[in-house]
Amino acid sequence: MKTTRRDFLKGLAASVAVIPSLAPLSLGPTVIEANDTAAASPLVNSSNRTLVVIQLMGGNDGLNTVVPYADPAYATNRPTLGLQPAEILPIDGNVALNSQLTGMMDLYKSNRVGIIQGVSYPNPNLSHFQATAIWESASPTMPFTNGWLGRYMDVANKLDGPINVINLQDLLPQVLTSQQSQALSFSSVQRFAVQPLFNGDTTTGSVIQQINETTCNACDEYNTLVNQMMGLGLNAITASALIAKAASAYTPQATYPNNDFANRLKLAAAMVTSNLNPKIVYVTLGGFDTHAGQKATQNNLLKMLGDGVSAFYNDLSAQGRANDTLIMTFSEFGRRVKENGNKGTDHGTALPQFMIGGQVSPGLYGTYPSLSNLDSSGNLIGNVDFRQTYASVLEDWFGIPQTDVLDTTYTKLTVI
Amino acid sequence: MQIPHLLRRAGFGASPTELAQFQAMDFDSAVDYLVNYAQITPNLTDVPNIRPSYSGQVPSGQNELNNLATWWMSHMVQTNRPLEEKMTLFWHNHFATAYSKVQNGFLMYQQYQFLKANALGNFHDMLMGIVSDGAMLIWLDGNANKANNPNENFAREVMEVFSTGRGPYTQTDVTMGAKAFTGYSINSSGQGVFNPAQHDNSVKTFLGQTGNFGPADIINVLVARPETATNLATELFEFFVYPNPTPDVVQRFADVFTSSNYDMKAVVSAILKSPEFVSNQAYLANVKSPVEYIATALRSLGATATNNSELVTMTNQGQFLFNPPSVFGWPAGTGWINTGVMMERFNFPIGVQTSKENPASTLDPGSIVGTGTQEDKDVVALVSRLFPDGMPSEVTQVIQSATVNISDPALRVKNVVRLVMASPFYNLN
Repeated sequence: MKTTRRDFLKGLAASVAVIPSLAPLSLGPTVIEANDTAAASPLVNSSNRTLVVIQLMGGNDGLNTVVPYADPAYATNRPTLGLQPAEILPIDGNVALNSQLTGMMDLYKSNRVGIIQGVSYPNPNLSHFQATAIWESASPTMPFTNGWLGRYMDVANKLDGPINVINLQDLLPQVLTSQQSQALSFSSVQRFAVQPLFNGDTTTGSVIQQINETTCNACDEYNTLVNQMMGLGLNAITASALIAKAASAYTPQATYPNNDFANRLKLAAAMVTSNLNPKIVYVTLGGFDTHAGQKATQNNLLKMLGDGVSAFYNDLSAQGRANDTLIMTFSEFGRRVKENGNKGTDHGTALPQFMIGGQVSPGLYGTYPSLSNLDSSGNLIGNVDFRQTYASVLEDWFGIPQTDVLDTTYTKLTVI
Repeated sequence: MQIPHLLRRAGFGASPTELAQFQAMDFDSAVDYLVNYAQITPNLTDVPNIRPSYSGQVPSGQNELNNLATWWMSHMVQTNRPLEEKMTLFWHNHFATAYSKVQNGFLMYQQYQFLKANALGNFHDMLMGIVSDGAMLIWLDGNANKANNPNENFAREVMEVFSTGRGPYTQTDVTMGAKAFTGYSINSSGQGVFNPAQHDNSVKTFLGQTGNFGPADIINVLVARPETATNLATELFEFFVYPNPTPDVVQRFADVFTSSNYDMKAVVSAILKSPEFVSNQAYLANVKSPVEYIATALRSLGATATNNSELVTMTNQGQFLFNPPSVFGWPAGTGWINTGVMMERFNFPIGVQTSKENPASTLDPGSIVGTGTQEDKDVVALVSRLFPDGMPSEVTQVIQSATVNISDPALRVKNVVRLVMASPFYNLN
């Protein structure tokens, strides 16, 4: 049976949606309200849980984020970039947070943060593009062209019926690319609505909807792209009403810093606390590729990260959603141990990941990589595989077997 | 159908006058006319409003970047040498350099002029020139790469992104390449200069060859690699024709690249005149990038200027000229579409129209199309003016029945323009 775009839309609105069998037609977001969600999945009850991913783009210098301040090799390798005692917040006798991460430290002290140290994978890649693809697909050997979260989306869609995944940026990252659905992307609630052409124009929205519902021979001839465009167009119209409703029902219960990243987190809080019940909300923070003049740039970014996440957590906590939300950071790689001659750092390998939430088991995980025993490029040798983090998220947060998404079984961390 | 297709791919669509001019030619003559743009006297001579000279990395706020992007957009819309701007856009994406780090409009404009001057020139000259380009020296830290302090940024990307692509090199080649590129800095007029005293004169082994290599040696090695030929051929083919060509198709154009001694005009001509270019597989096979979408829309309306609202729309769709997100440039094809972008494209056509609510806009379809003309009377004719290939009749009917009863002619025209540009067909290339 041929599934039409109109049928697909009906499916989305119904209480138990049918996943259409034709891939091109199903490349729309699955937008549903919370009471439409089906029963719990097998391992844990994840029905109200959200994963908020914060991607730090450009390769964050892990050594100046979670600082191995007691190791003499740190100061030796970082003559100008090394953080001084006044610039760190010690966690224990060995490692400290960069003092720009005061917000993160407050959360750490309240037992809300797990820090996974030395995260990497065998034969780490130093290209931004390739390393990003590796982290996003969860495959260092690159057999996957989609994303690990996209594969999770496909599994969850089968188990629970349609799930909502919200990407708060203009472009869709590979990590959210799936076979059967596409995350809902938008970056501004105000702009995510069909604007009237003139005062009193009440029909344009429905005419545009009609255009995108048109079936015609030519539409079939160029079926893949035209159908994708039409499906997305229809879903954009459907979703905009639900998003607007969700956003207007939200009032922040914490004071957020005034910057773009914090505004995105505020929007993320509006989505998490809404009856859209998103499984994943995706946010990015860019600018970490610090080949020269690193200190001021990275400090500024880490301050945005720490203060933003702190406000976000406190907001969710005040709204009773801290236990249903897990925040995970990642970046494509850390940076070279030895600083370069431009007060910057070149591409590196292992770096820490932050896991934040009401149900996180706090503390340090993994061991800090040695600053003396380096690989042939002068980079850290990681101790934790990033897929161990993913395995923990999949099984202990989302409650699905990791092998549904990953190529093999990885030893989980006890962070969740 | 072939001529509108050609003008979309090798340019930014066409006004009705321009379309008529090209439709009087046969297809190969039309390609020749576009490719031999150097023979056409440029109709545009205005320059962007930016700092008049290199004055260091002093940010000027957003205005300089806005001025540059608006200026280029207005040239894409109005140029009588459309392939020149299209190829410059291709190279801007290939050598993706962003104001966000360069922070200097003079250098960004200087790089634009370099890319434009070599747009259908020789790839070897292009790659050699980019090594000492002022904006590139800042963007990939070439000006910080010194004998005693090597910086790998440029050495990696010149292979991964600009020439061979991933595959033939190792981290050792990156390190050795970085040494070979040491010694550049930017002089007081914003040009890259090579200072032998800051160059690493040690012997380097690079991609299997050993010697006291300098920048030109590395460029010679890279341009001659077969991976560079296939990489460039693939990138150009996907830009002009359709995604994921088979290896044997790519090889034909890689061979032209090599046999013509890296002559880009020969490669682009061969691609545009190939059977693949006019095949069904190529027709509407790409999604318009935001820049292509907006430039085509304005050009088809005969716009003579652009304003800030187009720029805002471009940014909201994820593309800002002179400010790509990274050295990998922008996405392609379906990478441009998601729900947020679809909504931006539904709403964009309002921004280009003069109305009581938007008096500042530069375009007044009523005055462009005229009142009492065929287009004004006939919705179908207006639809085919905007989309000369012919919109599927079912879609035209929806637009017609939604607008035919609007009695105010200007409002009817505006509605038709909005609906055509919001349609999925108009968003394809």
